[in-house]
Amino acid sequence: MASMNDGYPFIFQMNDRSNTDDVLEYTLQYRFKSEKSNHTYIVRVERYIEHSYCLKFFDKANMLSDDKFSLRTGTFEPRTIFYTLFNIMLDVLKRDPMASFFFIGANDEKDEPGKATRRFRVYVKFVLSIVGDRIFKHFRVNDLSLYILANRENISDMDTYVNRLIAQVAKELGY
Amino acid sequence: MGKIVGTNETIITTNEGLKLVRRVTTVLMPNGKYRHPVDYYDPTPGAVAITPQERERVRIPVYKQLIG
Repeated sequence: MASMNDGYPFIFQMNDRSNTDDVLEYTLQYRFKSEKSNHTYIVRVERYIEHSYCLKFFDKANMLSDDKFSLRTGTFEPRTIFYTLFNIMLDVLKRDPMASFFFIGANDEKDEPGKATRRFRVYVKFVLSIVGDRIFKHFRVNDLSLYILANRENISDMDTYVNRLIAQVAKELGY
Repeated sequence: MGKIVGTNETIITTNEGLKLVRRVTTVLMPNGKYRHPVDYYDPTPGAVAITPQERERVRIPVYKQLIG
């Protein structure tokens, strides 16, 4: 019987080195399929400088849409999907024990863009429930709907790291 | 669903002394009626480190902590 903490099985697809720039080094791409809705999800883990990884995921059916990160699937299974993403995060952490993670809660049609979006609030609730304080230091940036899990082993000056990351994300988002 | 036609933000203080923004969004639904979803968020600019008190307040109690 499936337990509450189970996610879906996932596979590592490829190491994508296209669209790299001076801060984005490469992208790890994973895929998993929901057994409940039969939707396939693509998870892209972008590796930036200083062992920073950004987790992004979307429904494969929306792959060609510009709003792929904002569209809702309405399959009522966020918990299982979040646990799958968490397992993918652990896989990345196994490959790179120095990894720090960050994610952005994309806005949907009921949100003002950027500020503490609904997705962001749900992600924060989930992450605070299952990720402790020993390995990662947690930061939230409500103006950007950005959440940072800074690896205590790798980062000595947390404030500088977080401020640099915020500046980079703000630049990418055009704020 | 629906189209956002306006947002009204008010700063409130909770009983615990937290300053939050109460955001009321007006959404025009396809049937011509309006919805007024309400949400609250902390308006502190920049990065905020999560405190143990905040963690206790936000986390879902039945979820097990899987990583230290």
